[in-house]
Amino acid sequence: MSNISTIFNNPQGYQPQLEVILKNIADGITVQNTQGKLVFANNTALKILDYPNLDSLLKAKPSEIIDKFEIFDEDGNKLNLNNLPGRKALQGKSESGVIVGFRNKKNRSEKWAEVKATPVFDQRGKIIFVINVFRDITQKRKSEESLLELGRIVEFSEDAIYGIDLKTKITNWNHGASQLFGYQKSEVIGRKINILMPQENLKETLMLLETIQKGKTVKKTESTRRKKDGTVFPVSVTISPIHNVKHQLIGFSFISRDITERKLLEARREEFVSIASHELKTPITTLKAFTQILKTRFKQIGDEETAYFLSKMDDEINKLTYLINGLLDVTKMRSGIIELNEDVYNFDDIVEETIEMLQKTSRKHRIVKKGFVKKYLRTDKNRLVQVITNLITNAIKYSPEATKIVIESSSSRSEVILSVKDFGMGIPKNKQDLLFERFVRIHSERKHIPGIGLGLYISAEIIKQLDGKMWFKSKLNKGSTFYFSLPLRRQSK
Amino acid sequence: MKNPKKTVMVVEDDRDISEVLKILLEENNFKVETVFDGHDVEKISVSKKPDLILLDLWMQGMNGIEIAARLRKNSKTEKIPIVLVSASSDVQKKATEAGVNDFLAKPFEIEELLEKVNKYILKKA
Repeated sequence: MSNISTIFNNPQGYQPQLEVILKNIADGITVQNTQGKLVFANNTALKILDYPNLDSLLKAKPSEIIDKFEIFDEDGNKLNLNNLPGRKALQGKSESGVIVGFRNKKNRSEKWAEVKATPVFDQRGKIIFVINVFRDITQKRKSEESLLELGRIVEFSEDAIYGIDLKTKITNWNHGASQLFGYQKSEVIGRKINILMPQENLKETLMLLETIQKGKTVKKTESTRRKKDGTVFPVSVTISPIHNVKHQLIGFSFISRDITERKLLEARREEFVSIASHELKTPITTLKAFTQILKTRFKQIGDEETAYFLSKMDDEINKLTYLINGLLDVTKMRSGIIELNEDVYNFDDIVEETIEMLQKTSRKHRIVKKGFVKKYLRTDKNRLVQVITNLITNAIKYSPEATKIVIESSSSRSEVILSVKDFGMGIPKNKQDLLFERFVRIHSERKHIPGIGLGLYISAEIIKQLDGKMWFKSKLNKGSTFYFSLPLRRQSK
Repeated sequence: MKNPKKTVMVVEDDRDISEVLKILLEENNFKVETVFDGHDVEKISVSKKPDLILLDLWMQGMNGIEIAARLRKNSKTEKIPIVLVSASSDVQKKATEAGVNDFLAKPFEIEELLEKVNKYILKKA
């Protein structure tokens, strides 16, 4: 059995073995004679130089081989060919660690190699050939470049991005952070995050870090931060864990965005909502009350016809109120200021009550109720009634030829489901995706169907706020069924 | 024998709404005290001892929730039932914490108004 030392001790005797080793080594190896012509190349070198086999490479002139590539230095500039390590070695200079880039002119593929070129001398000190060793560092170079690029993206992001270690000391600080907080990088590195936030937020932040340590993620939370000049301002924050290569937690990254502007807008919108609801509803309140007084008086004197006119007027006032409430709800939802008034209710009772109330106003359609769930759940009764009312009135509105609406409730261990089925016009396939958007009216060509397209948007938002889901099935000219589910146990907010 | 009329105090700074509430309640045999300024509510409540207060949320000077909280702190007014009349539905939590007994949304149905008023007055009687 031959081993490696016997091969090298007696190279002539083991020429074939030596060649096999050289050929299959992971680094590219070429040997040039004193004229610069290649006399040997291993498989990796063939691959780097893009030749199919040794013969074709050995036949090629050195200029031909070089000509196949655009050649760059480490910084990506065109390389003066006299600086090629092989050429230098031919003049007796040993070169190592030279980074050279080759771009194949034909297929534009780019390779990067770390090159070592060594002249081999005979006993009299004359160069007999040069050995070039190429290490392919294309992958490494690419990942370094992309890391550098990522670094630049992070550095110049508008968001403040900074890292801390497990002792909450700041370890990294981007340009955005300097802009936002007013501290230069050198002022904060090594200091605790305490300097960036008011005392009351520190506890909350430390608790967040603890939950992240337990493996949970913190996406976007709102908090407040303090600038160098003492100004306290609102931010939205994303915190992520930082792991080392061994997957050990070594720190956390913070991405903070200033939301002062947004908060101001929200406050203004909130103010608008409350002023608008007051200003719009005050005259309607008086109008409605007087209408009802008049209706009662005309009834008392037996003028049924005038009393009827006034109840029509009252109905219209109710429609106007409904529209105003819809617009206000949407404004509130857009700014996330809808407030739930929650308590524990029997789900069946809420459904029954709503149906009873709506049946009174519907002459043509019979509202059929199927199923009982016998479950209690924590919810906002008024908002839930609003959703069920919206679904049933839609069902009636969009099935003018039908005479029946079917409401069915069911439950599982974890949720209750209500469905509202109509036998009407259904929803065309191409409009189904738009259904829960604002101001979308499915059969807008049918002008006699009233509405401004807010009802379903509002209902879906309410169900979302109640931690439930809403969906539907529909067939054109057969009818639609709308469903919502609500969890029996909700995380208290 | 006829019971003496029960007194409902209407705290509302909009003259028209105040007027229509007065008409409605008087037609239904209540005595009505109208108050237009939030600052007067506590004083008048002590002197007139209403059986129920209909309190507008949006009062100039002092809002309904502040007024309710004050009334609840005064031993002479702490037990008077308060129904908050409001155009916005989002204040119920705050209002309940301040001691409001019930809500009436603006605009309201007459039956709704009378039902709420009767509920607290009968409870008391």
